[in-house]
Amino acid sequence: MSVQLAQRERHWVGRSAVHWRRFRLLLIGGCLVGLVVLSAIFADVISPYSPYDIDVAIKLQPPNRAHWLGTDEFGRDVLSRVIHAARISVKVAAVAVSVGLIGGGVIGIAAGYFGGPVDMVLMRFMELLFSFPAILLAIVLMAVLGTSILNAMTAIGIIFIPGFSRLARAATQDVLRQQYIEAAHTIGMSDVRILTREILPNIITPLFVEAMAAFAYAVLLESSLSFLGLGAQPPEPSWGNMLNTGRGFMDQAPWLGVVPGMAMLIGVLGFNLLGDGLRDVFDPRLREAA
Amino acid sequence: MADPLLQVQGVSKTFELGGALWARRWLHALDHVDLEIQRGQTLGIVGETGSGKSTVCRIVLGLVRPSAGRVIFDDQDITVLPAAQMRRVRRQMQAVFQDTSSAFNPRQTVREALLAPLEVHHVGSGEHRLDLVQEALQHVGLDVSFLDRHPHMLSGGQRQRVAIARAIILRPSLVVADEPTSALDVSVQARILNLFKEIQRELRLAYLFVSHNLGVIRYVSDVVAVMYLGRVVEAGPVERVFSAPQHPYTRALLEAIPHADPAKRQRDVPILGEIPSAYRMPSGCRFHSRCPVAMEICAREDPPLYPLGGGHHAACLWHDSRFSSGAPSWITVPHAPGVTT
Repeated sequence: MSVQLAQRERHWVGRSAVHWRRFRLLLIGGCLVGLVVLSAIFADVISPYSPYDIDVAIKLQPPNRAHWLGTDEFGRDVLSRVIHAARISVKVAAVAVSVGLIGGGVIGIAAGYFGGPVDMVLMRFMELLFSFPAILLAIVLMAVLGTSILNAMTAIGIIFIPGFSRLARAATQDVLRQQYIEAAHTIGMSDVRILTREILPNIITPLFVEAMAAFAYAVLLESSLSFLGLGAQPPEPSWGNMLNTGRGFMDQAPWLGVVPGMAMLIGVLGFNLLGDGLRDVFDPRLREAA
Repeated sequence: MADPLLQVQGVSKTFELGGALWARRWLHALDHVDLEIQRGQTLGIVGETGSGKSTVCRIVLGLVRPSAGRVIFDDQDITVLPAAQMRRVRRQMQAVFQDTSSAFNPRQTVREALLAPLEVHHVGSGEHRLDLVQEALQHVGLDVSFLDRHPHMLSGGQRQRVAIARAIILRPSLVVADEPTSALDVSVQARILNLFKEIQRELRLAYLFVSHNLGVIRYVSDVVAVMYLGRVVEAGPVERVFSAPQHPYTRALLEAIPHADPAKRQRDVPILGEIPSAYRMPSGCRFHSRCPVAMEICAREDPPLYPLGGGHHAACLWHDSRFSSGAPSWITVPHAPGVTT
């Protein structure tokens, strides 16, 4: 009791150096993510040119006053394209993480709650999915589903399912050991009510934190797929296909590769820092140590 | 006695411990346990950790199915009831657990926790439900200011009061209390025990009250059952069992209570060592390995519960007519066979 009270008084913002260090991670991550997400939302407003306007007269221009980040091999403005590409990345990551979170959450909760053969079958299947390297699995799924941005979202989402399901299962099993679940059974609650009212609210925090971390990975996977030509299709800009194009002009126009690379770095680093920061804030064991 | 509320008949429970298919290891948590609770009465179960007390509670509550035997509640065998009917029976049978810190969903307020049973069983609606919640809180000595608090904002004793409120809000006829005071401060324990007794008087409840604390059991129980390694070794009206225990294990437990008067303090150790593990069950009488008055035959023969009259039973071979002539002085010679108790 007194421990819990003490914890409540020690709010996580500020106080000690440890708290500040954690908060700083969260802050930096938040700023980077904010930059990417705002670019994605307001791409039409903030990009100086259309990402699709071709003008071969100004092709492969290095960064200058009119085109801050230069132009590509068709004379398209690289800054505008990289801003619009953020939209693809964020959209794909958001949908893919949601697919993974919901799919993995349902499977993990079911496996943890019902146990026995249900658990056995579901988790063996998850391990099967887990045993493939992520990018290979994505390529196979894309080959089966066909090349489109929607299928890229689905494929990346499926890759996330096993990880979320393991987390959800472990968290569910942890909650099941609590006496309020036994109390719920003695009251006569149905399984559905126990799952939605007693278990779900108590496992949502770790799943949410994991979702933030998965975001970074989703951005990276989407870029990889687009780089391989399996995600966003030209002329639609994506960091991955821009990087792929830039690869061919590395000696004449290095900004074509460097710019989308930097954008990916910002996106991935931002989501990673935000995820780590949130994990630290919400992990009760780490909070205890502080 | 007519029409008991709850009868546990020959209930056994074995848990699988794993191991290869041809060498499965089993844990015998309960072995042919018989118990009976009359309406409005308290059956106290006492025993060491690992004696099967909690397993009895979980089987009575229908949380675990027994491997064998029947649990008859209100004239129905609840071990074979389909889930939907079991849910209706649950309304009559509620529970209070030991660990108050995990007894409540940390995300719910006291109001939500107390409304849940009413919602599940479709009792009343809206205003009426809130009235019932307030009434239940009053019963346990808390006021409406607790309604919007979360469990971590309450003390252990307060949480246990809310747990009792949750258990009585559906007006059950039986409340199973598994070590409800063991995790509380001694000063709070006494108040919670009194609360249990008050509520029993007001609502005419029956209790299945489990504790390892003999004082607690003596205070709340009408009938007591002493358990050892998954068996009932002695059972009977509480005053008879406590004033003249008829099983060496009960006797040892009672002697182990520290005396305030130094002159009465027991110097010798009445029972030796720890309770044996339940998957290496001793042969014969389960208690023989620790019994101060064991005979040679105790290692071979498993004693039944001998009726001693007045509802008092004990499972010790000294009560067998073959050995009663040489029995220790505290052993009461049982009634002649055929005499019902």
